[in-house]
Parts: sequence; C-alpha cells; structure tokens
Amino acid sequence: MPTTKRTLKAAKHKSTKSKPKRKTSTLADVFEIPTPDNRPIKCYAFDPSHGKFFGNEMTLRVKYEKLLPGPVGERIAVIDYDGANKKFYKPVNLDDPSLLIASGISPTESDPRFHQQMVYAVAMETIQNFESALGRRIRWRLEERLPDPATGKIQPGKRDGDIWRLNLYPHAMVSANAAYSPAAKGILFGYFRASSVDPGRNLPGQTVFTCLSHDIIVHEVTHAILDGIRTYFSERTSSDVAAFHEAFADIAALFRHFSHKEALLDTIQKTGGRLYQYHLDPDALLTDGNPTIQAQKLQDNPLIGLAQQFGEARGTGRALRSALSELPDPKKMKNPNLEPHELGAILVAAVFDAYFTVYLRQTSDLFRIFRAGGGTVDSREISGPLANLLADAASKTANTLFKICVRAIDYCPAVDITFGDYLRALITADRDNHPSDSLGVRDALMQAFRLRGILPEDAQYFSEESLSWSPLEPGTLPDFEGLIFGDPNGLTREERNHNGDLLRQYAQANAETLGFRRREFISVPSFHPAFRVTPDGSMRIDMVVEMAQKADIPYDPKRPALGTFPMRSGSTLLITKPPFKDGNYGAGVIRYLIRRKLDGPYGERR
Amino acid sequence: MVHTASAASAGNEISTCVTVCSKVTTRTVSNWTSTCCMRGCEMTTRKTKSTAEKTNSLRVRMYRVGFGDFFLVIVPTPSGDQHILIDCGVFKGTSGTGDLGSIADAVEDLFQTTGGKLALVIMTHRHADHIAGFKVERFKDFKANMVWMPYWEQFNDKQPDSANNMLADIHDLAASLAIQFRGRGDSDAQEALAQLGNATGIDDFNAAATDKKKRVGNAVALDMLKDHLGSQGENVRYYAAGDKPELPDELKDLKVTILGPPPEKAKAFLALMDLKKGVGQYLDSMTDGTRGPGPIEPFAKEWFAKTKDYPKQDELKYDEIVQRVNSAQPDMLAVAAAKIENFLNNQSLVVLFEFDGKKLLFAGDAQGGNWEYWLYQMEAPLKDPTNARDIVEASKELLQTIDFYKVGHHGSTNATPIPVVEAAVARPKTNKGFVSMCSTEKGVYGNPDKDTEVPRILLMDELNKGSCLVRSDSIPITFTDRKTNEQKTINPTDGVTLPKPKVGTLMKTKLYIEYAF
Repeated sequence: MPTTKRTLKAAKHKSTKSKPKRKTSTLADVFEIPTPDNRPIKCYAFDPSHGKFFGNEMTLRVKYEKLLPGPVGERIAVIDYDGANKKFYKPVNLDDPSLLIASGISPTESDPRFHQQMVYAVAMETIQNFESALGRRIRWRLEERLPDPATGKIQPGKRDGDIWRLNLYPHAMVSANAAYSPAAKGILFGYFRASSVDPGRNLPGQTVFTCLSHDIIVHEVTHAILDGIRTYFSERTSSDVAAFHEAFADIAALFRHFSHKEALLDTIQKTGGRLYQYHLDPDALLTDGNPTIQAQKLQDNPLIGLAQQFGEARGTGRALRSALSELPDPKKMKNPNLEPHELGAILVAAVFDAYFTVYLRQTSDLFRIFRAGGGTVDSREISGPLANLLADAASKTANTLFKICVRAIDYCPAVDITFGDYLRALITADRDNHPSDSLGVRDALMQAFRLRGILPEDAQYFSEESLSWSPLEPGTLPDFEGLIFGDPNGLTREERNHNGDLLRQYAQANAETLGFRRREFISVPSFHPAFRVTPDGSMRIDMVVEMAQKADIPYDPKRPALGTFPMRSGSTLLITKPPFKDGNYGAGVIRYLIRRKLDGPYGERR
Repeated sequence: MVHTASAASAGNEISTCVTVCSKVTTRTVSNWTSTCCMRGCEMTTRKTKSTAEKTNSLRVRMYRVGFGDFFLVIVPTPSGDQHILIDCGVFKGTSGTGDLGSIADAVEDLFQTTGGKLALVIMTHRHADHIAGFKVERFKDFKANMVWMPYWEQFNDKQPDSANNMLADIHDLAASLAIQFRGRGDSDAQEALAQLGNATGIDDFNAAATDKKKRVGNAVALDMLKDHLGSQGENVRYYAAGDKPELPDELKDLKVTILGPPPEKAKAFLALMDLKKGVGQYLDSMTDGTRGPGPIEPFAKEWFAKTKDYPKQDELKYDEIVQRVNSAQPDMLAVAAAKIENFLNNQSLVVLFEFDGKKLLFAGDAQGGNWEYWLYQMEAPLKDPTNARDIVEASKELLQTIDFYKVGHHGSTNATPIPVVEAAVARPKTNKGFVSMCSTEKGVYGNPDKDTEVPRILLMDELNKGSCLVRSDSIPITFTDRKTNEQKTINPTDGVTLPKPKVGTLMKTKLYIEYAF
C-alpha cells in the first residue's frame, strides 16, 4: 500500500502527541490526489489566420503550477496592461474549475483572456524546451554586479534591474511589432491594423495581435532566455551580434513547427514527404492555368514560414521570414549592407539546410521501402503509416537539432559572437554530447555553413577537429578549488554569492591568461551549472562562466577630442566537475577557454 | 523582435527587439555621437575692422534671424554686383525661441542692398526654416531672374491627383500626424510637432484643419517663390545631382555644380519610396479608421479592469509596471514625423559655386543619404554606416579645396558627416584653410545629455579647429520688433565670438555678418 502524506502525518501526530487525533472520514480523504504533471491549455499552433485547418487549434501541455489570475505563475506573469489606451484588461483565471475542465478558453481573437492564456502557454512551453536542452533551470537577465565605488566590494542582494519573473504584456502597445525589453522587465506585444490595401488572409484594416502568433511569442521569449545566458549579445558591437540574436530566436520558433503533429502530417501529405518545399500541392488539381476554386490555390508551406499572418497583414503577401529564404551564396555573407534580420536569415537557412539534410538521410530507407512497394516519388499520395513514420522522424530530428543549437550557446564567446564562432560552438558542443555522431549532424552542419560562406576566421582545415574550439591545455590555468556546482534546480542565494566571489577572485588572479587587462575590474555577469547525461550513462556537470571587462577606447587614438566608446573583452569558461575520487571531489578543471581580447592583434582589428 | 525596418525602438533599451536604433558602440559615419568634450568655443578674437566693402570681392552674407538660413551671395561682375539669395527662413523650433523676430527687418535690408533685383534665388528645400521669410509682404516688390529648387519639388505642384505627385501628401500626412499628437505634452511630442510645423509652416494644426482651402504656412511661401519670383513657374528650374544648371546671363562667369539631391534613379537615398507607404501605414495601423483618427481600441470597455482584479503580491508593483510599459511605448508617431523631417532635409539642393578660383559649398540641410550619394558615388545607400569605406578621391579632393562651407542643417548631428570634416580639414600646411558659416541658435533643438544638441558641440569644436567657424549667433543684432514696434537687441550666445579668418575679411552690422574674400 502506498504511503500517503496523510498517513505519514498521522504517524507523526501519534508519536509527538502534540495534537489530538484527527477524525478521518472517507477513503477519498485519506488518499490525496497526486499533483498533475502538466496542465493542458488550448492555443493556436500558428496564428488565427490559419483557421481551424492543419491542427491549428492545438492543446499544449505545460508544466503544472498553481496560477493566480493573469495568469501569474512563478517564472512568468501575464499582465494585460495596454500602454496605448492606458487600461488594464480583465485577467484570465486558469485555475477556475470551468476552465480547468475545458483546458482553458477556446481559441478566439475577440476575448483578451484567450490572448493571455495563449501567451502564458507558449512562453512556458518555450522555457521548458530550453531547460530540457540546457539541462538546467534558466533564469532571466540580472543586472551586472559592479563593485561599490566607495568600498570596492560587491554588495550582495537584489538589484533594481534584475528580472526574477518575466512579465508578458499581451497588448502593450499599438505597433506592428513585439519586443523583449529589459527596461520593461518583459515582453511587449503590439497590436495594429492590417494593411487596408493588401492584407492577405486578414480583413482589410482588421486588428492583428502579435500575441496570437505562436512564432512571435517563441521568438521573443527566446530573446529573453538568450539575454539571460549571454549578457552582452544584446549590445550591438558588430552586425553579426545583432543578427545572431535574431537568427537564434527564429531558429527556436521554426523548430517548434515540427512538433505540431497534425500540421506535420498534413504537410507531409501535401509535399510527398518533401517538407522543405516552398509550396504545398493544392487539394484539387489545377486543370488549366488559373485556379478557379480555393482548393486549387497554391499554398505556402506553413512549416518553413515564420509569422504568416503578421507578414500578410503588413501587405507583403507572404510570411514574415522563412527558414529557407535564400539560395546558398557564399558571397552574400560579405555584403556589408545587410540589415540584422537579413544577415540572420543566412544563419537560419544554414541550420535548416542541415536539418532537412539529416531528415532526408534519416528517412531515405523509408522512401526506398516505399518505392520497392510500388510507390513513386513523384506521387504526392503517401500512405498513412508512412506519413506517420516520416512525421516521427521529422519531429525527432527537429528536436535533436534544436537541442544542439541551444547547447551550443554555452560554448559561445561572451562578447562579439560571429557566425563562425557559432559554428565552432555547435561542433564542439555536439562532440561533447554525441562523440559518435551516427546521424551525421555535424557533417550536415559543416557543409551547410560552408555553402553559405560561414566559416570561423582562423580555422586551418575543414574538419571537425579544426572547426571545434581547441580544449585548454592542461596546466595553462590552475584548477578551480571550492566551486559549488549545485543541482539542476539551481543554486541557492548563498551558493550564488559564494561562487560569484570565488569566480571574481579567480579572474583577477589569472587575468592575463584569461584574456583581460590586469588590475582592472573583471565582472562575472553569469555562471550556470549544466547537467548532461553522457553516452555511457554517467552525468557530466559543467559550470559555464561568462567573464567580461570594460574599457573606454578612443575613437581615434590621434585625436582624443573625438571621445571614447566602451568596448568589452570577454571570456567564456567551461569548468568541469571532476569525477568522485577517494571519497572526494577534486578541484574543477577548466576544459575550454574561449577568449575575446581587447589587446593584441585581434583587439586591434575590432 | 519580429520585424522590420520601419519600427522604432523604445528609448535606449537594448535592441534584441528592434532593427532601427540600437546603441552602436562603434563609430558611425554620419553622426557625431561620441561622448564629447564639453569645451566651450574658445577662440582668439580680434575686433574686425569694418573694412570698406571692396566692390571687386566676392561676398557671402549671413543674416542672423535665429534658427534658419538666410544667405546672400554677392558676385562682382563687370555690370555691377549680382545677387544670389539662398534660402530665407526661420522657425521657432522645439523651444519656441528659434525665431528672433528679425526676419522682416532682414528682408527689408536685403531690399535695400539689392534694390529688389535678384539674379538667382535658390530654395534648398521646403522647410519653414529655409522659406518662411518668403511670406514677408516685402517680397512682392522683389524680382528674380531665375529660381532654383530641388528636383523633387516639381512633383509637389498644385495638381493633387497627378500620378507623379509624390510630395503633395506631405501636408496631409503631417497635418493628420499633428492631430494625433494633440494633447500630448511630452518632449518627444513637442519635438515631433516642431518637425511637422517646420515641414508645413503651420503653427496651429487645428485651425488649419478647419479651413482646408486656404493656403497657409509654407504653401504661402512656396506660392511667392514659384508664382511671383518664378513668374508662374516659367523661371523655376528643378535640379538634382549631375544636372547642368541654367544660369541667368548676369552670372555667366560663375561655375555651378549640383551635388545633391540624388537624382531620380538613386531615389533610394532619399528613402523616398518609403514615405507615403511608410508614414501612411503608421497612421493606418495606429488609428481607428471607422471613427476617424484615434487610437485603436481592441476591446470593449466591458473588458477593462482595475489593478485590484489582479493578484496582490509584493513583487507585483502595478504602478511600476504601468510606468515601465508606458515608457517603453514605441513612438511610431514620432518616428513618422521624423521620417518626414529627414525626407525633406535629404531633398536639399547642394550647390558648389566656383568663381574667380574660389569654391563655395552650400549644403542646405542635406543628411546622410544626400551626402552619401556624391561622397561615395554608390549605387545604393548604406544600411550599416559602420561599414562605410573611404569616400572617393574626387570628393576628397573637392572638399580639400573648398574656400567656404555653409554648415549643413544648422550644425546638427546628422548633417555633416565625420569623413567630410576629416577630408576638408586634412590640407597641406601651406593652405590658408576655409571659412565655415553656420546659421544656428543655441538651445532651440535637442539636448546635450542625449547628444542631440543643435549645434552639436563636438562638430562645432572640430570645425572651429579645422576651419574658421563663423556662427550667426556670434553677433548682437538690433531690429524693430513687429509686435511691439519697439527696438530690440539680441545678444550673442555666451562664449561664441567672431573669429578672424586667414583670408579675406569679416564684418558685421546690426543684422548680419558678411565675409568678403
């Protein structure tokens, strides 16, 4: 018989005799109902413009937590304050029994409470996906801890600029835009009127809500998550950095599409399994020239388009961006005129090229069997079971690649990331996690990046070894004594303060080797323990540390009157917790040191 | 963020979200946006003798009217002095103090100097601070042989439905934007209203809206330029970069090159195509079409709630949340107003005069795109100015040999690119340098804390060091205040004095500074 809390309590009562014996009545009262693991919430898989087709109305299962009206939970709070109309809107209470039974409000554009519910669900789901990929609990941006000018010490405790709970404002502003804003401690979603001339599937002039676009929510939450991990990627120190933030957010949003089973099956049916096709085959065959009924119209592939409704409402006639927007062209990366989103599109295309390559490798046997059984590749008729298998492969591969993309963040430099650095990070992180690479993911990534002219600056050869960060040679840096690695649920405040002090001391003591100027303050904006299961089943525990140093650089050394601008040098450290030995853990070993220096030849160029 | 080249970021928040303004920590090509040294303008000053006006020297006269351009170029010719008027305007600006009130006297003085005969009138662009003076009654007594306007102005004629009518809507766009700003008292709104006022010459948009048929503001000045001075358009010429301008006979010894605005094939430099669609879409996407101008109300009032409907928690401070969201509001209206402002500035006619071996560059209010076109001779505008390469040799050579520069846009941050000053200043030691003239008035626009003050201190410093910088606000002026009919004197701006040029002489009167060389 399972031991319930109540019986334990009863046992305690008996032994302590502090309270009179409580009367237990029915069996149901004795057996407490277990807390559910997750909460089903309805939302749009894409956005309202997709109607009810393709499984657009879906139910997300997000981790259960007790919710207050808003919804206000532990990690995020949805506060529906409209800054344009200066009004609060009525909050949804997802713990209301009628909503609990119905998995929330059914998708609708006219009820702000559904908007709040969808924003909450999608944001929570995004957080969960990141946490599962990173192997730790994520946190939001914290203000940089700088020493008190008077004492030279770092004050413990919270700061004004810290974000402990991310606020989501579903109707914050009138704007064809949504934005993650650390100043507003959250994400502002805008609403706007669709173009009156060419609104696509929207009504001319209808109000379009960015908070109802699954893609936009994931995109913005990803910005917020990335900002918590890499503090300085939001400083636009080069065009690559800004572009990287955008590309990474798009990658996260696009990979979500491949987890929507119904949409996936539909697209597989309509593309004959070729998921990367731009258009879906129409439901009805086109007989001559122009479509006469709606079923004959060529539709865009919803899986590779980002924020369809939003793009159409702005009069562009298509999705905002696409996973595969450009033909590979190695020269394009060198065009100095690209705007961050355009530059980012190249990185997005490279990642999805790799994804579809792996998907095709994974499913090639299925297609062989299909052909052997009399199927033809040109035919769009695919049997149900085959479609199911293809959908499984597509969503598993998407999950794998998404995880690789996310884990690579820990292997990125602390400042001034370039796309080439990200390729190094991808390869290094994946070699750490999957030494064998049976799916050929790394090869696919390398080729896809090369086709688009994205290469690390100083790579000697086009090989895995050469495209990884080189591990730190033993003895370069002393081992790290006393670091607390904690557990996957995070570090306590005392542990954080302890580690922070220790890391800053270590940075000062080894400033030059770490790539900093001596005797100047080195800040440690973030450190995260990461827990990963290695292929042999043991757990590897790393501490990912960001360090940075600020310096004021004159615009022109010859003419100091022009003033100075701040520049940062930064280093990323991966410190591994050594295995248990003689009843003790040894000191932490620094495996990787990824530096971006201010001085020396590299600094000059910057 | 999700999109777009047309959105604005809220304040100086970091820009994971928005494409437009993020803090670029590297040096940009066109902006003087480093932290500047706040040095005052210490100049060695010597009283300039008001040497007799040599009739055979070339002269440039800058009237002090406040925030606005009013320049007269006097060209000596065998048949006597000929007069070129370049702009005549003033605008009150954000502070409301930009118009000193001296323009009527200045126009009267111009009449006395020229006898009402102008060989050439150049309107660089249609902002009030360059044309408002043409509203002065006295202009009816002037005659001009020719009027030059920027290329794009010809599409802004009186045919509202013409297919080419790219500019006719500016007035309407500006007016409807201004109505959106009604009731807003914040500084951004004030600045945007000032920009719209400058674009249209209208002070009171409410009054203007009630009587649409009456031509008001800049329209009156433009009528004077096109119909009266330009003889019903017969003597008006429209020019863009590369055009060979037609000169009146009296000025045939003068050589003129048109450097801006970019011609029609390069209109991307003006962000021209964006304007109507861009500004129109801002308006469109932000207003409730069914009930006329007004913000969209997405939900009926039944959905409105009070903070008490939200959970009570120590960490949830609703006052703070309201404040944070309010201050993060993207000011699309302000962005739209700024778009109109930049669009008009970029149309500026940029003219290079060559006479008797001297070169004079009048840059109007040209901003980034206008400069870029001829400095770099590119096909398409730069999207990321941090990637600018060096300016082309021809432009460099030209800048190194100019003798006179009319500082663009009253010395504001966006109108004299750093490479221009660098090129102009980098001269052999033997060179006598050049004179730059800046018509400006301190404290009318911008804020030194935001590095937006006009004139930009850093730019003034550099020009002061590299050239002989003459500011219109360096002299006291005396005139009859038209409102009170009393004599009024305005003192020079603190710390700004008249320098002594290496070549030629500067003289001042109670209304203007004149440089003879």
